[in-house]
Amino acid sequence: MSVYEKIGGDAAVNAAVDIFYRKVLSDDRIAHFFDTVDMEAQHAKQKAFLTMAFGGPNNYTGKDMREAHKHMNLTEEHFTAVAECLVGTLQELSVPQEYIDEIVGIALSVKDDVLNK
Amino acid sequence: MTVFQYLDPEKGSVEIDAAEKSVLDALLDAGIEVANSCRSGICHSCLLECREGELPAKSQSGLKTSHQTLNYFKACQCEAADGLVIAPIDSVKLRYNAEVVSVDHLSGQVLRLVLASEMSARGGQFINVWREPDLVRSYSLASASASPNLELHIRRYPDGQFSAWASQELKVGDTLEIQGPMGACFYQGNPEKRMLLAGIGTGLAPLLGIVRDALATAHQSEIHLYHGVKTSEQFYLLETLQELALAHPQLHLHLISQEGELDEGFAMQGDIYSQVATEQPELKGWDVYLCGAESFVRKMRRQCFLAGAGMGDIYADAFLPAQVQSA
Repeated sequence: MSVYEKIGGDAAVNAAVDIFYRKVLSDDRIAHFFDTVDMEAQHAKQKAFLTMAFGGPNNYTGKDMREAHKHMNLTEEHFTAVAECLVGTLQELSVPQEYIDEIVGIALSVKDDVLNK
Repeated sequence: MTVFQYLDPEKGSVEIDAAEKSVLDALLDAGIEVANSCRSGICHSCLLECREGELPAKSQSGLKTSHQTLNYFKACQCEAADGLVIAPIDSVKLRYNAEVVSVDHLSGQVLRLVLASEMSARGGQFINVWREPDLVRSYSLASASASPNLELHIRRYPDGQFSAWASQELKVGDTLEIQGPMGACFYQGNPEKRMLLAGIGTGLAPLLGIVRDALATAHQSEIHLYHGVKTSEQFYLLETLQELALAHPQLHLHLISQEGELDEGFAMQGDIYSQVATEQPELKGWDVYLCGAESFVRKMRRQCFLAGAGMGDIYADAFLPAQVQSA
């Protein structure tokens, strides 16, 4: 059983996505990346990202991740900021630590693609 | 063999062969471009509109109520079935003839056009109106769903190819061609939820349509309507708004002018962003409706989302400037 199923599937993602996106938009380290994006479209992408990080159904490929982020000159600090927003969201929703660890593990697996390493 | 119909905005009706495929895959295989991303039913980027036929429940799960009502569906989650007729959202809508019922000036800048037609539409949706075959504009509806007529608020521009013509030439009894309705920014039918509506300029039109629908369906929770203008002479329909508020104590009017003399104390001077932020700091659980220029909608959407409104509970209609045609 994936973490996705254990924490409640689509409903869990729905509960998490607004909280997560608010944290991202309020984080000075990364908020400026989102100044000009279409918020609804970006929200949908955040939802797809969380679903992937929770181990849910997705068709994400490393190539998609790399393509989407390669012109953004992202650094370790930016990745850390997003990871902190993610952990903060899960803690706020009282997700057990062992699941948080598992989710962070999945998020880390795309780090090299996101940072274009 | 499974065949469904796709209403292509350019090519017209196309038959798509789709044995054991999703609608999305069938369209892509047929060489039709459809935006898509996750292909798992999560990102909602492949939404299409169903005109005929029965949709599987899975293809609409997780969609906003308004999108479900409009028969939008996720193409990647919809197994193709015989008899389906589908189209891109808000495209290839029916055209109607409409008769001009009245034309009057609501302010120095705003013209009200009331049309009678067979089209049924919800307050807050928008329609296309033709002056001639290649001159078309989109306007939002200030009239309630149940109203027999369609009410439009037209911002006048001195050289406006449509607006100047409409204000000088249109007469009662004239016939215009219209198309629609389009858009998903309309009353969501949640009588227990508080509502924030904010708009600038003729963004008041769709908001008024939404308020009228809410009041007609006995919406009991607080309704806060914010109308922002540059100078106080640009306020319009004040009497109508005040009468509505008087008859419906749940409706609270907030009229905000950036500059100019304000009399009678009905309006405030200030800016609509900080006024909303100060008066409505916590929007968790509210339904939010935003209409007006794109820059306004963008900034206000972000502000309301950060104030706690759910992204799925923010309904917006951003007005785009007309594509000016060369003579």
